[in-house]
Amino acid sequence: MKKYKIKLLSLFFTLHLLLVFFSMMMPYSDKLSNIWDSKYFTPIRVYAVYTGTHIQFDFFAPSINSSLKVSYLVEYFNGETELIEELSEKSRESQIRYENIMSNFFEIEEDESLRKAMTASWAAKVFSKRPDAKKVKVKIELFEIPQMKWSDYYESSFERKVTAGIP
Amino acid sequence: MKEKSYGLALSLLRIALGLILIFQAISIAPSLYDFYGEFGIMQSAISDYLATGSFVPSMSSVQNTLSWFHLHRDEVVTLIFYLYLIACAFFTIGLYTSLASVMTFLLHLILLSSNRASTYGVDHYLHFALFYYIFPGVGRLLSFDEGLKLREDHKNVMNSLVLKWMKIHFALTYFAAGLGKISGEQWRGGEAIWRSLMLPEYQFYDFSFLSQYHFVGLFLCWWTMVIELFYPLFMLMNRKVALLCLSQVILMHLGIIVFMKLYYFGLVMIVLNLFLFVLREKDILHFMEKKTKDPGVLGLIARKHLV
Repeated sequence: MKKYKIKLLSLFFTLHLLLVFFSMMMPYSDKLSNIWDSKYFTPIRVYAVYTGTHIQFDFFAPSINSSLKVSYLVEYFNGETELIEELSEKSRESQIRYENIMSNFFEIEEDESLRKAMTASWAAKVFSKRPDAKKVKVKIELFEIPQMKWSDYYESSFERKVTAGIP
Repeated sequence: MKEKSYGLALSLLRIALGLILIFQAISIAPSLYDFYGEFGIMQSAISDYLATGSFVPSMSSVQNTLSWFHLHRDEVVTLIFYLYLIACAFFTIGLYTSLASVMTFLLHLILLSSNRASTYGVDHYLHFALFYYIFPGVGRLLSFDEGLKLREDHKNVMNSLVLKWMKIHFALTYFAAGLGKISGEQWRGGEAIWRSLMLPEYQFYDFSFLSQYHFVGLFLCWWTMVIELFYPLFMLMNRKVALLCLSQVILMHLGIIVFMKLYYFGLVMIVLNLFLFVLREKDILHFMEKKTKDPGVLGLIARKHLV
């Protein structure tokens, strides 16, 4: 490989790692966050998202979030009710991903419409698996530490409008 | 830097990462449409809303691009997933490795961006590693393309360059993890490890006794933070210090596998540590020289080219 190519590559990797460091420092500086959000930074942001350099790698930090548990109280057209805690059997890897989706609920605390849309999405999953379900109440509980107990966190109810032939 | 390398460690890392990607994909396959389907647990409209930006390829953008074929969202999910599995298989065995590396990287990005809410550390570390394989000539040995023999023309500067920058990037991720932890009161106060082990999703063993032995939690928290924060520094020090630090890091990740059952995350971290820092090319060549008697394979040729 020619010398100038090696130099160019080294320059590229240096800039790449500078961007990695920049992203990692963002949670600690509003200035950096503002630069990141500015429209002039868009091409770099695109590059960062494609290459994964925008990730801060601060998992389980600075604090450990509480857990959320979702359950579904289903009311059928015949009047019976059922409490569902697991929608389907899952591998450990899928289970972790489900829990990550649930934990997003903390991050959208101020966006009620998005919370409603998310729970509607989960309720729709129950409706799709139970065609005779009339109503689904999505119940989210929060695991409190150090009390070590579940407490009510969020609730939302959804009713089937189209009965698909079920009286 | 003019140093040339075969990229043996990077080639072994390619195989290990490829296998992990395949097994991980198979393990989420039964829930595929729950994660990416139109009426999944996160419906596509919400996933798109939460996506990092419209400029990143996702299932939705692929569906729009292929609109002429009138494919349903779930058909696009199936197509992407099978293409991803094929790309991972080709990447692992090293068949059309350059194309397979780029395809694996892009398809992994599509899966990442199509349901960002479900992703966690392992996905980001895998994506970080896949990025470096899109460069020509990186980790191409021990493959269908190149066979098992080492030739002098296999040595290139790109392998040395990429390995060096990958190491720096990887070390920086530990620093960032340590910095994040030390900025948190739960970590400084020794509560974080106990909290994470007491969370229902990670509570496989009863660690409630830890609350009576606060010093154990405090020690574990500070042990983790010191290892992570000073990881880049330890790697720059002499080999003994680096290996001592690496043994502690691997122990920490084994703990994550055993106690938190984060199998893929722990495995990816151990594999990255092993092939980026623990196993050096000259060690692998020495090992091959001692173990391999067959003159046709790596061993004899390695002996010939041993530096």
